[in-house]
Amino acid sequence: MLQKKICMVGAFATGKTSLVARYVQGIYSDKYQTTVGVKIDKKTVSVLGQELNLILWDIHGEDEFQKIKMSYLRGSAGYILVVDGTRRDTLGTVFQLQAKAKETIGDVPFITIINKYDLNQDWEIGEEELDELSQREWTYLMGSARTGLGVEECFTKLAQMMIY
Amino acid sequence: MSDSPAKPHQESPVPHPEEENIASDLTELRSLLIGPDLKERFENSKLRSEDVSRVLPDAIHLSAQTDDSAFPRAMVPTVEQAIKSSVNTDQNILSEALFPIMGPAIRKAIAAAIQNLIDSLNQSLEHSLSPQSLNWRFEAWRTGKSFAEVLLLRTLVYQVEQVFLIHKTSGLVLRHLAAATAAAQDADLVSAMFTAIQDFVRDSFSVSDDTLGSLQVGELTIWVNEGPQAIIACVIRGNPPGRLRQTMENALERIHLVQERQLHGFQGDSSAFEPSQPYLEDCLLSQYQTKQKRSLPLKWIGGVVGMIILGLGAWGIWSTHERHQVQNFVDQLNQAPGIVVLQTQKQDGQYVISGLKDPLAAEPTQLIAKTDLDPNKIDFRWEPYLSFDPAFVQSRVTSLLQPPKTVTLDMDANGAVHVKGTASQAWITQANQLALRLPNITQFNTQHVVPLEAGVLADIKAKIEDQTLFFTQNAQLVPKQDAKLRILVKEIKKLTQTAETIHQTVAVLVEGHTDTSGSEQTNLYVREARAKAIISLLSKQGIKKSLFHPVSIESSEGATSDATQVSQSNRKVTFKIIFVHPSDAD
Repeated sequence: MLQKKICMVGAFATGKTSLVARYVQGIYSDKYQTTVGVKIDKKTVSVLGQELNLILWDIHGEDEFQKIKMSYLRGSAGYILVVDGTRRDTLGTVFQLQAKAKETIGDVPFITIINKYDLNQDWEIGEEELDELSQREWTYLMGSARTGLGVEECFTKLAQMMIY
Repeated sequence: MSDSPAKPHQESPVPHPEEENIASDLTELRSLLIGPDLKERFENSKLRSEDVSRVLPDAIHLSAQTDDSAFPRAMVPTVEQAIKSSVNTDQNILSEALFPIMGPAIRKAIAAAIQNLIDSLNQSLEHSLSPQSLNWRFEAWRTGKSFAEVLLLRTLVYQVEQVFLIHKTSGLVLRHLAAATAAAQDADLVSAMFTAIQDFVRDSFSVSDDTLGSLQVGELTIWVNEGPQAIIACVIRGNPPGRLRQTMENALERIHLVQERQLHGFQGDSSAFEPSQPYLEDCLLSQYQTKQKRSLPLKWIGGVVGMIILGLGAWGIWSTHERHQVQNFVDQLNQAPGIVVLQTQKQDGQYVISGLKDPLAAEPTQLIAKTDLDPNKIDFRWEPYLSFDPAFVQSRVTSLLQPPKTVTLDMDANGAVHVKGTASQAWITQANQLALRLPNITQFNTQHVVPLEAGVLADIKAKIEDQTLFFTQNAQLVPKQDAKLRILVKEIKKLTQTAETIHQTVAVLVEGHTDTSGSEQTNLYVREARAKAIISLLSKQGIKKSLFHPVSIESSEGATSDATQVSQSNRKVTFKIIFVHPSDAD
């Protein structure tokens, strides 16, 4: 069976762990737990008839005190950039992180998920931001770990990108 | 160039214009096809070598790119020969070339060896002062084993439960093996986590090349060996021995060698790592073996120890039994008269019984026969001595004195020997002399032995006293009394001899008798004359004169009816033997 390492990358408290929990276990908890170091999960998916073992590296979020250690990304077949839709600055973080990731592991497929779409009253990602993503030719989608919106799609899409 | 193309010109003085054209065309074609110097190029090896040298590097380069291993294979013997030749010519060239590689390789090997040693040492030290070690020390004391033995027995129990082959950069599992008995976790997660931890440690402590060698989680130890492309991690329960590292290292090296291409080009397809399985099994299998070896030797050791204990027990019982038997035998020996056991020792599996033994005592080797003891296992060392056991004393007395059957010897507790019966005086005398020389004989009492000679003397006495020698009227012997005289001489001689042997003083009274006729004075004279005549006669036959005592016997008888006969019968000499008791002598 094919195995692929996927990293969850993003600023702190963007919902990386929640997305993984929703995707792998189908659960969601409002309780915030900061990730120290790395948390690893696994999900087997079938993409276009191909069984795939996704090893999900849920890396701690980047904040002003703690930079993401790029060594965690080594050997990744793809990564998911997680943006908190209610905090515009988290988009800027992923731009920086993507640049660093590209530097470390080269051109590997990645997908951007703009999380917390359920909190649309606090939404800070507008047309302008989305335009920037399009200009960069990034694949992105809206999602919510709480409702499960876009979660499955996000992982499946990345898996497809990794295979082809 | 050859002359042949020119030949047509020379040999046909008048060539046909058409033929001439064809020939020149051919020459031109030939020069076009082959060129003027091609033949030379083919024939001149120097030129050909130059040609090949120009294309050779490119050819090799191309060959390497085509993924065809034929060329490298073809090169092997040549390269081998070249290296050999280089070493033979000048060792320094190759050694200098290899130096940058050899140095680190050797250092790494030494470091690994030292690490193994340290692991072993740590293990020993760790267990030298812990509460558990006290327990083990107690066990060692209890079982009589050395502490090291107990330590080895207790600490070497381990099992490699899982072996991971992990892709170094991605942390993905290439191969995972779990022991049948081990509860395996999700290998993918564990593998990724290992890698994450490795990354974390590397980043956090800024050690770029080094790697986390081992993790300790409760009873589990995780040993990690890292290669350029892959990592082998072993999850071990218990205390792994240092040599496991070597096994892991070997497996890792082999895998890198055999699967280098797959490792380089890994894209998540772990099925390509099937060939690594045997090497990983080495890690697991050797542990299985070790486990089996462990349990097997344990069983064996247990068995052997059991056997030894049983053997020791049996030996102990047997040896106790044997000792008991020997002791019994020694007791028997001590009870036997004339044997005193002073010491019983065991030397080289033999019992040495030493002591004193009377020559008359029973032979100990014969006494063994009555026991279950192996006579070959007992060595006797006897010093001869004389036992005063009454039986032996009596035996010794008997053998020395050779008493006649007519006497009995009795010894009392005080060492006095009482002899009864009859014996020759010679024996009595000799016995008296000899007996007291024997040790422990305090008294030799022959008072109640009747000397044989005493009876003989009585007989002789009677015979002698029976004899009467008759005389004529004066001191002349009546003729024809020679027989009587012969008897007298013989008997008196026997008397003196016998009396002498028993120290009996004897006296022979020679009694002269007369008849009543004549005066008393005359008769006295005649009586004395007659006695003296006989004494004289007998002494002439070799009998001591002092033995005889002439006695005049006064005629006391009254008148008889036949006076002549009476007279005749009284003209005689008779004999009387007197035994003088020694005490009466003088």
